Amino acid sequence: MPTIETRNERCAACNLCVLACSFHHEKAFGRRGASIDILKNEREGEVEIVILDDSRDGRRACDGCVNEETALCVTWCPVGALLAREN
Amino acid sequence: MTKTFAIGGGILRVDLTRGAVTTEPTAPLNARFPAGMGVNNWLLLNETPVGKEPLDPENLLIFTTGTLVGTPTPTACRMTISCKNVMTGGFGSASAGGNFGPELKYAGFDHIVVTGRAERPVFIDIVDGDVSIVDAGDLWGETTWETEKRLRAKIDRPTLELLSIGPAGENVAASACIMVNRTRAAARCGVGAVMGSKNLKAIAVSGSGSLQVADPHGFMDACLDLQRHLMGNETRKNLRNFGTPASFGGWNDKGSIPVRNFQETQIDAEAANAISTAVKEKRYIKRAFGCFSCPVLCSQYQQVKDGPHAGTRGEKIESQNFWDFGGKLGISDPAAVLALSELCARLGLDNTNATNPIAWAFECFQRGLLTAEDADGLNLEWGNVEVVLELLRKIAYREGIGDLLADGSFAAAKKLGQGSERFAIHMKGQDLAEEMRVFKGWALAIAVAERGGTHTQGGPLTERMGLEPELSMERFGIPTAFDSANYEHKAELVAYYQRFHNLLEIMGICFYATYWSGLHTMGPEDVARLYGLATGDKKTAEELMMEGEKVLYLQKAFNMRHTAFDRNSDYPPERMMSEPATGPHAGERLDRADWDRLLDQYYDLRGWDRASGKPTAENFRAVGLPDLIRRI
Repeated sequence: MPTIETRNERCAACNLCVLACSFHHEKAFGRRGASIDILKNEREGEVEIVILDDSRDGRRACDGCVNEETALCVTWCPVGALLAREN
Repeated sequence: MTKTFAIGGGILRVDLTRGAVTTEPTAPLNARFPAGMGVNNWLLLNETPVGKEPLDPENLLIFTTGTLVGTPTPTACRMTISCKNVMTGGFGSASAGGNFGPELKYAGFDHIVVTGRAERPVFIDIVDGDVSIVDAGDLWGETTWETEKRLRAKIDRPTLELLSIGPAGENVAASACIMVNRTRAAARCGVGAVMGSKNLKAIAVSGSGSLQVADPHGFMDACLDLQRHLMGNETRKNLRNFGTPASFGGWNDKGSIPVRNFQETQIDAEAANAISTAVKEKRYIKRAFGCFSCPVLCSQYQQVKDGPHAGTRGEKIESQNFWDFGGKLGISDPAAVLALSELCARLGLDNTNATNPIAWAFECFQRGLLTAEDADGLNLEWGNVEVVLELLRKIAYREGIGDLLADGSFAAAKKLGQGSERFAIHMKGQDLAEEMRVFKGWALAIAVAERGGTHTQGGPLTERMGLEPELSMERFGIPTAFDSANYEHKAELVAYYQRFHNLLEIMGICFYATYWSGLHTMGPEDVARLYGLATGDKKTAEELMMEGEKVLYLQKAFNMRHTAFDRNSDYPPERMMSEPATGPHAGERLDRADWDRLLDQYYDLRGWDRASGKPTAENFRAVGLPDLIRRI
């Protein structure tokens, strides 16, 4: 299972990875259904990408997109802020 | 059919007078309109009481998300806010991007309908179906940025999106906007003033739900295809690199910038160069951001690190900010434009509706109709940044001359008189952002726009593209879509974009991903395909464009019911017809006889009455709104 690496400095906070992730898990679109949080600080113009490594608060952990051809968040990211690294 | 896919599912109604919160399903109204803007405008039309001033507590303020918002449809994040227009008394709306719309749908709502007036300042807090009206006494008087900061400190939830007004909204300045978080603005028509008139400081939303679509895999594939297509498009790359200010130089080169209150139409080479160079060098840009679900990324985070405006920062500076401050007020320092834009965001002011009355006052000063004594000791000189900073503050707090300017140039000129009415550049009472003399279709759309003076209700950008007539025939079925000076067939072109813009608002798709701003982007067929895959409702592009047409009729009906607008209301400001443009199109102006003919063609196209500019009962029936005429 690949691990998702993040590059915060590239992230545009568009949340397309979040939507792709929730689709992977639920075949639906929402933020809580995803294993990714995009934390944007509009004051400073900074972003932190958080990948959930463990299930918590009713949310699923990242499973590296098992059963998908590629990790969907990586495919959907328009700026290359996410990378899949095989372990 | 009743649609259950893609929508949030509910209409949230908040009566602030009674402190009552109720909900109802969206589905019954969706059976009649493909959600979004159609339902919004229907509710506004049916429930706005007749004979009440726009700031009357009985009026509605409706927040609406688009049908495809919250899905990966490229750029589908928009929300539309509608109300009785503070500046025109007619239909009013403003639109914003950001994350609020998607979050509202994840909370289970497509619309929030706010009525009444709270006894004391409040904010509405939405956590899925749990909605409360919360005291906001500690936030009243604060800027939008401080409000956002305090609410985030106060509310600890995994996701939180906010709308707020600043002092401008609290003091019911007609130029007040509603800010989405800190960086997106729903700006026109005085929506912020209506929110202030209800003692509503903010809305907070957190949604934990998700949206289903009819064909999940087909929809995902179609969205990803479109995303990749958009990202490869050269114009989109420009937007990602420079934001919409990349187009400022082009507008100025064509002599279509409002300069010194529309007295001229091109800023001088030195000033233009100062702005264009800063844009090209990305001098103040730190990085690019996108709204929710947007791969275009036109929102640059900007910061000024040195000079008199050091410390300025913010996001989503538009080409229009440079029209408003650089053009209308003669401020050529781009850092100053950023500083002024930041102040507007903090105070909760619409750049356009705030700068037009200032430009009017500057011209009155230039012509000796206003003196420094009238203006609280300020010398109202073109390009004076300090004076503009002070006037924006005065407008937001209605201090001194700011109280006069806070109601817009049309109202201010009525009070001052002395011929100053000629320098109030407005459409139907609302201040104008756009120069109109050069591009004829552009001018027509702005003049007839139901909300009063806007290019976002049908303004074609094709006239700037300089492409071949053959392509015009192929795409639009007319030979003149790319011909700026030609009046012929512009009524058809405008009608096309009126429908298309309304369709995009129904769906919540940003114009910058579409045929509006470039022909190799998303067109009506793409929208129909995504809509069908998402909802299961297989409407054709033509059928969906007619839903856009229906929205236009709802807005027209609102204006017929609440205003005295007629054919005369569709004529441009006198200045556009009697004073020529400067720059490359020197001498160009809108000709009255040509305009008469153009309006005839525009009304004829739909079979509206030429004398009044109004649709007939048969017209309403033809677009599927047979019962509407009885309600007007």
